[in-house]
Parts: sequence; structure tokens; C-alpha cells
Amino acid sequence: MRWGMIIDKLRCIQCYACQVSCKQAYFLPPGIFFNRVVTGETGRYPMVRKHTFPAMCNHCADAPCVDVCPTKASYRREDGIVIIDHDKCVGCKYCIMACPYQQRTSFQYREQYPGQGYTEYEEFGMKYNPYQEGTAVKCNFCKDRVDDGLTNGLTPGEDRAATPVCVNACPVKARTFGDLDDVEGKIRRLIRERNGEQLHSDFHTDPSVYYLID
Amino acid sequence: MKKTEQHKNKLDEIWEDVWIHTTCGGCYGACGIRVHRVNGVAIAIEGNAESTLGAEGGLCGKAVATLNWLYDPNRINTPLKRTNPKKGINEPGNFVEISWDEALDEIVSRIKQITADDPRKLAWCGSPDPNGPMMMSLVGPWGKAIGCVSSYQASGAAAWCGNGAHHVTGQYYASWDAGPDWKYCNYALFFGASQGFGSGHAGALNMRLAADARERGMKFVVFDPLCSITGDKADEWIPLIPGTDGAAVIAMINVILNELNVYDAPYIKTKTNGPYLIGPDGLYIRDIETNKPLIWDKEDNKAKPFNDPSIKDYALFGEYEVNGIQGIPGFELIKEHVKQYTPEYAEEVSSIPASTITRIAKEVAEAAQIGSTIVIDGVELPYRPVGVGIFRGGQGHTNSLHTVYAVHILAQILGAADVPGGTVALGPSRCFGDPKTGRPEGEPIADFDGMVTPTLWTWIVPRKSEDLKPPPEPQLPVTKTGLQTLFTRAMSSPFNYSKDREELWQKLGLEYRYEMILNWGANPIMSAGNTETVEDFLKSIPFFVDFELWQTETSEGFADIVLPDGSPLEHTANCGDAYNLYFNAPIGYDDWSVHIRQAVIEPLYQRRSVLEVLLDLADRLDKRDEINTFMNRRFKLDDKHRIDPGEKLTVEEMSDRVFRNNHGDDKGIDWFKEHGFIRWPKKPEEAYWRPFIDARVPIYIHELAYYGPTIEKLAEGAGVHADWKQYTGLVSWFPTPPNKAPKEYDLYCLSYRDILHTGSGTMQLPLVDEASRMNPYTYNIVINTDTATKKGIADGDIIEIESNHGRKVNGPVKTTQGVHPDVIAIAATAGHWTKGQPIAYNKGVHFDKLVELDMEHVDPTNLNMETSVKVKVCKVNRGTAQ
Repeated sequence: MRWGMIIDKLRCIQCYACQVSCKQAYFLPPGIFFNRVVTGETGRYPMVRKHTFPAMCNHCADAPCVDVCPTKASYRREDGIVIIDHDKCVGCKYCIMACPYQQRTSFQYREQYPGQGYTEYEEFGMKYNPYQEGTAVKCNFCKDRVDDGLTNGLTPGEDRAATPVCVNACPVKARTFGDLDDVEGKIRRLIRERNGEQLHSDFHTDPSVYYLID
Repeated sequence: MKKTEQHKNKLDEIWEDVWIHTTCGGCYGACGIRVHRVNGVAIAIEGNAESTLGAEGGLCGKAVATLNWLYDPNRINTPLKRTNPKKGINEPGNFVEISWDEALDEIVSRIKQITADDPRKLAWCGSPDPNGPMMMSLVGPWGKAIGCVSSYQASGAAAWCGNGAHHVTGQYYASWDAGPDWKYCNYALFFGASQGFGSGHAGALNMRLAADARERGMKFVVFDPLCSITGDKADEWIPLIPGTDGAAVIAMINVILNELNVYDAPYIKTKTNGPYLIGPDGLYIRDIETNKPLIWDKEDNKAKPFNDPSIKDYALFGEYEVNGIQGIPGFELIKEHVKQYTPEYAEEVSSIPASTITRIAKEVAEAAQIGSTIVIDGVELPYRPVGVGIFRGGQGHTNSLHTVYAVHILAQILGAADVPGGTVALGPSRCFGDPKTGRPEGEPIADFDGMVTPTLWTWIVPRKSEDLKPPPEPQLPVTKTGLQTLFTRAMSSPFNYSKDREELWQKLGLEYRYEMILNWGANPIMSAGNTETVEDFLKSIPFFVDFELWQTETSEGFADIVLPDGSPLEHTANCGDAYNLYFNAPIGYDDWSVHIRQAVIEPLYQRRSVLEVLLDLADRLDKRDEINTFMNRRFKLDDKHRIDPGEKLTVEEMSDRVFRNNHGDDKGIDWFKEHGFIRWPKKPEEAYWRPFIDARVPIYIHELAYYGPTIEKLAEGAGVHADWKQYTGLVSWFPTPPNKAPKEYDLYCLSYRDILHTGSGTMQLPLVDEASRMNPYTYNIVINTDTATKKGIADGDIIEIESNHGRKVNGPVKTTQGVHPDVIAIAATAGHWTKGQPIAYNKGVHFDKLVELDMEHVDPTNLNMETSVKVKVCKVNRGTAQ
């Protein structure tokens, strides 16, 4: 069992639903992202291509962030999800520097409306989904949804309640979640059929997130 | 959600954890959504996975971000009254809080005073977005009931709407808009449109279906000066000069008809006015006895009324003498007329290589597979897998109407309309209703001349051809400020805001001026025309009432009373177009889904839904019974469910009547509150109605030929001049003022719909603002990299844009290869200056400051404003991109 995700660039329309939904689901303050849409372009007029890479923690099989953590707060679960135990994290930020994909952030609360105080929604979030300031945060593959779903007999990637928020949120179904170890499963099949690529495979981190380019 | 070691829930108790069904108000697409509420706090929005009205669970980013409407500390929470007697762009309102009673008493007293004098002096205007669905149904009856006969759309003919697109798709598809049938389409052509890549009609469901089509291998070709995300997703992005889409399309029609000799003859004969005989005056030759337009029966060799059951075969070519007049079938006239639009001519005008135009035309003709059929669920249908889309970008010019006609005539000659794979309605044209009740139902009918007329979403009752009244003749004096009583082809008009409005009103005999305006959700000072001339108009209004979520530039500078509206997440106002029968519905062969909109939290503070306030005002004016009468008619309520005289229903109670009327007494509003929506299968005969409805489309644009001479005569007689040549029945291309501007102004400037934004209201959403700041294009002026280099401009520089009329804006630059070298582009309705919206404040660039709005800068047929501007740019200083 190794959870993985596919992001289909052919389908993606750069609507930011993944970024916004994820921020909403996890009550993330301004400047902090578990999902971040990165854009750019290549080519020359008129043969130009815009590029949209919804970037997130790659849940690498060989994760530099895990290797460098002095307190073992960052660890890789047996199902491949890389997470952080915030009670163990001392905020040294080594993992933030080590992540080659720049996916980790030191958590700070910030007001959505600068200088106007926290809203009822933000204050609720501080209790419902609290963070420890100064610790490192990142995408956790919605592990609570996955775990709860499995407990309730659901299949992550198939049943919405057991599937990461960004996958559900995508209006063009550009994201697919499933088991990378299942060679006949839809994730592996898509990777084979559409030549799925990992971001910077030259980093030799073996990400669990694949992109379908064409 | 159970919390684990990462995020320990610190709530004392979770006493509520529910999901509430409603529809999104982020744009007028009104997708089905669910909102998560825990302990009374709304915390998340997601799409409704079981509904076809949306992305089947997904949702766009701005829709998700609308949650912030509920918790924005900048919301207006009490009625406010202006104390600064001065009005203007930079005048603060100096508002003071007043009670609802004080506010409504003053409004009622003003309404009584004005309507007693001349009801035309009272007008309402608004935006379809924030108050959306129900508003479109209630406001008409409300206005009629209280005697408010003047209304206008704030931006209907300006930067953000489709004055030409709606007119033509109404005539051709019996719908508010049209686009490709993604499920079966193999080749789609877009002209300045964003269906499937932005907001608006059938928003997220278009996104879902378009993505499926791309993955299926549909070829997608986008004609657009800017490679926005739509162009990027295309197999081919074809840049062109703004305002020249029509030239390129007509050249393609020329290649298809005259070089390839391809067209769907049976379709043209029976579904268009192509066989109608046109006389030398450009008008139909009519039967002396029945007055019906005549066609020529090739077999019987005689003229017959188009609907004569004895017709054996229609002539599409030839010259025939009828009643002593020489007549030629409209189709032949079109075929001959378009010969002047060679690909080489179109290249000169549009900058698109002639070889590209020829190639695309050939590909389209071949992809249409004329003559082929497909069987869908046992029903054999014509199969024409070529679809087109055109909206604001393509039609926002002084050649608006002809350009939209051109694009849809391309679809029509191929027979690719309302059949599988072709261009289909984005709002429903034909519906047999809920199988249990047969409601709501309606289908296109033929007018006197046999032309398609929509009924399903219109007020037309009863739905019989013989009951249709002919459209009004152009007349003077004008009785509408928008001049539509003379310019009868203009659905919406920008003329309240024009530079020359007073001169035109005087010349054309307008007998009154507005003394009071009620506005909801529209911000015309930013979106309806040139800022200076809009300011001039708004300053002239003695009493302006504004229903708003926040202070806008319009309310701050010009409103006398501002009322705190509820956001779409605070409305339970669900009937009428919550049925999405107007703007959108599940398109193509997707199941029907009908939703409720309901409040996810009750309005906080003193906020009240504008809908309830309108009913309150009607009660204070003692006009409830009139509203009841109109609502019964609008929703076609049967005897059991109709609203009786004397009944004072809330909007929620009205919705209950409509739901039960349409879906049975077991499915009232309580059922909808719990279940959210009702879904039932669509029949192929509903989705692909064209073969089953005996009605035609005017590919020969008879109405322009018919009304033109009268309008010209009346206008010229009053000293009003315009390019009357556009009143021709033959689809043509006419250059725009920017196309003819001095060479010194070497660039075109245009605005475009960014996928992150709808109108100006999304700019105040923090999560959308954050994404916009991360996107390199949204808040910056986009310019071609090579053009920028030649001018010594680099990323982050601040440039000043100056129009050939001396109007100026400035802002930071982002260079890109994805824009025509002669074009610069500005996203969304940005550049807010009101302090009432601190998130939106000073982000991006305000495009409308650049535009011109006067008789010279509108389409003389439908009055659509020219929305591109000829400019020159210079670097002001080195800056940092936003």
C-alpha cells in the first residue's frame, strides 16, 4: 500500500480550486499553502504553452525532510504518507530547507483581513483545527480522511469521504488518488498510458505525486 | 472529522455538524453546492457530487472562496444614509447608520412622489451575480407592480456581457447562450469566449464537460488576441487583431461554401430562411393572400408560402419572378456575398495567415460529417460534431451583432445546431418537465415568419405561434433612456452612461430624466462604460438607493441610501431561475437537475435579503396583489398553487408554491431544503430538439434589412448619425473605431475575464486575492515580450497607457509570449479605490477608464459598446510587479 496522486495537466484549467479548497479545509492563514498553483510559460509566439503545476508535498519514498529531522517529528507512514508530529517538532526549520520542492512552511497565524482582527471563522478554525506556531506544516494527503474512510469501509480515491479534499474539489477531475502499489489500479494504469512524470526525478526522491503532461 | 495528533480539536463540544444544500452565487452559473456548518459556523464549500448542475462534486476556486462573504468585517450591517451632499468618484459618502424603517419610509415616500408624477423617472438596475437567480424572476413583477417601468442592465452592453451573443443565440438556439455539445463534439471553435474556462453560463459544468472532451481527443481551436487559459487549453491558439473575428469567420464561410461547396442542404432548406425569396429591397417576398414569406418549389416550379405542406423541394439557387418582383433565395445571396471575404482579405484585416483560415475551414467542413447520423438511446439523430462559441471578447465591438451572426451562421450552414456534437443551448430550449408532473415545460415555437422563438424561460404565454405579437416598430420620440424604442435590436443599452446621452435624448425627444434609481449588486462606475461619463450620469441622479454587501465605488460616491443585502449564502430565495431555466441548465445530454438556494446561516446583524426587502416595499406601497398576479403568470402556477389576492407570502413561501406546482405536493421547500435538488433523465428529443421542432433560423438577417431604413430615416431626421450600412441582411464585417485609429497609437488594449474573477465582486475575497497575487498575469498589464523589448519595457516596469482619446491608466507589466504583438491586456474589473473593500483596494488595473462611450463607439444595430481601445504606452518608472 502506497498512496499516490496524479495531476492531469491536460485537464487542469488553472482555476485554483485545489489551492483554495485545501486552504479552506485546513484553515490555513495567508501565505501558507498545502497546495499551491505554480504557473509559467514556454515557447515563442504564437507557439506558446502556459504551464500550470498544482504543486504539493510529493510524499517522497526517499524524503529528504524525514532524513534531516533531528527529532523524528517528520516520518513516513507505512502507507507512504509523510507527516509531521507537531508535538515533536521543535521548529528548527531544517526540513523546510531540505525539501527540494519547497513545500514546507513554518506556521504563523495571520489575519485574512490585515489589521482588522480575526473573524469568527478564523477563531473557530483556531479551535477546530489548531496549529502550533513555529512548527513545520505541509500537505498530509488528507490522512484523516483516508484513515477514517478506511475505518468506515470506504475506498480512498473512490469514495468522496475518504478522498483528499483537492481531488474532490477539482471541477475538471484533473486529480486522481489511489494506491501506487496496485499495478493494475487506475493510478498505475494512467501513469503507464499517459507517461506520468514525477517532478524532478533527478532529485531521486521518488515522489508519490505524478503529473500527466499531454 | 476526527482529529489526530496533528491537529487536536480544542472545541468543548461539537453540537452541530451538517452539510447544507444550496447553489453558488459566485457567478450566475449557480452551480449546485454543499456548505459544511459546524457549531453554527460555515467552514467549507464543495460542489454537489450527485448533481449535473456543476462539476459533479468539483467547483472553481472563486466559488469555494465565496465563504468569506459571511465573515468579511467590511460587510455593511445596517442601513446607511449619505450625509455628504456632494457626489463624485472621490467624494466620501460620510454615511450614518439609520433604521430599516427610516430607510424604507424615505424610499417609499420618494417612490410615491415620483410615480405620481411620471413613473418612468424611477428606474432599477442591477447585476445578475450576487442576488442572482430569484432576482431575475422577482424584480420584473416587482417593477411592474409598483409602476417602475424603466430598467437597465448596468453592464449589459458594456465590458462584461453579451448583448450580441444573447440576441443571436435567442434567435438561433432559443437560449440565452450557446456552446459546443462537449459530449459528442469532435471539433470546437471559440471566438473570445470562455465557456468551460471561467465564470458565467453553465460555469463548472462546462468546465467538466470541456475537460472530458479534450481528453477524448476533441480538437479545440481558439481565436483570441490573448492566450488566456482558454487559448492555452486549445490545440491551436490563433491570435488576431481585436474586433476582426467576423472577417475571419466570414472568410471561412466563403471557403466552405464557395471553395469546398460544402453545406447541409436539407437543413438549410427546412431549418433556416435560406430558401426564402428575397426581393431587390432586401426583404422577404410575401404571399399576397397569407402574407407569409415565399420560397420557390423546384419541382412544381412555383412560389409557395414557406409553410405550404405541398412543398416538394426548396430552391436554394436561382432567380424567380413572383408577383412581378425578382426574388433570389437568401442562401444564394449569402453564398455570393461572402465571396468578397477572401482568406487574403481576412489576413490583411485580422493578421491571421490566409493559409490558416483556409485550413481551419477545411477541417471544420470535414469534421461536420454532413449527412451522418447517430443513434442515442434508440433515437436516430443527425450527427454534426462541430461546435462554436462566442462571447464577450468576440462580440464586444461596434460590429457586435454581425460578428455573432457570422459565427453561428458557420454552425448553421453545416447543420450543426442542437444536434449531437454541434452547438447547443446553454440554457434549456426544450423541456418536457419533471416526469411526475410534466412541469416546467416549454419548447421553441415558430413566429409568423417561421423563425425560432424561445418560450421555456420567457414570459411568453400562451405558447402558440398565432398568439405571438410582432416586435415593436422603431419609433420616435424615444421613451427609453437607452434609446431602444428607436434601436429596437438593442436588448441592453449603454446609453445612460454615454458622453453624448443628453444630446441624443434631446434630439430623439426623450421626455423625462431619471430621478431615482434602485440598484443591486452592480458597480457601474467600474464596469459600465467610461468612468468619467458614468460619473457624470450618476451625479445627475437625485436619489440613488443601493443594495450592497460592501461599499462599492458606486455606493460610496453616489448612493443616498445604502442597504445591507444578504449574500447568496444568506438567502433562502429559491424559485424562478434557481431552476436555471434562464442562464444555464445541464447542457447537451446531461440529466436535468433543479436546485434550491437556501441560507447556510441566517443573515447576521441587520442584513436583509434584497428579495424580502422588495416585498416589504411592495407592501408599504400596497402593491402586493399586483406582484401576486405577475408571479402566478411568471411561474405558471395552477389553480391549486396560485397566490391569491390578499396573500402576503415570504419569498420562501413563494418558492414552496413553485416547487410544489412543478414537482408535486410532496416536494415542497422543506423537501428541497433537505435533499437540495431533484434530478431526472433528459430525453434525446429535449437535448437535441432541432429535428423535432418546425421552426427556422434567420441566416439571412431579415430583421436588419427590414428595420434599418426606418431607423435610419427617423435618426437622420433627428440629426443622429451612425453607420447605417450595418443594417443589411447579409452577414458582413465592419471595421471598428480602434481598427481605424491613428497609427501613432500602435497597440490595442482590451480587458478579459480571468478565471479567478467574476465582475468586480470577487476582488474582495481574500483567498481569490491571494491566488491572484500569485498568478503573474491577473493583476498586471500583459504585453507581448518582443513588443516590450522593442519599447524597452521589462517585467515589473510601470507603464502608462494612453488612448487615442487622451485617457490614461497605469500599472505594472508582465511580459508574455501569449498575446498578440499588437495587443496589451488587462484582467477582470480591477483597480478598486473604495476603502470599503480593503482586500480589493488598489489591486490590478481599472480598464474602463480607457474606453469611449458615445454613438460612434457603439454597434449601430444593437448598441453594444466598443470594448477595445487603441493606445500607446510608455514606461513611467521601474516598479515591482504586483
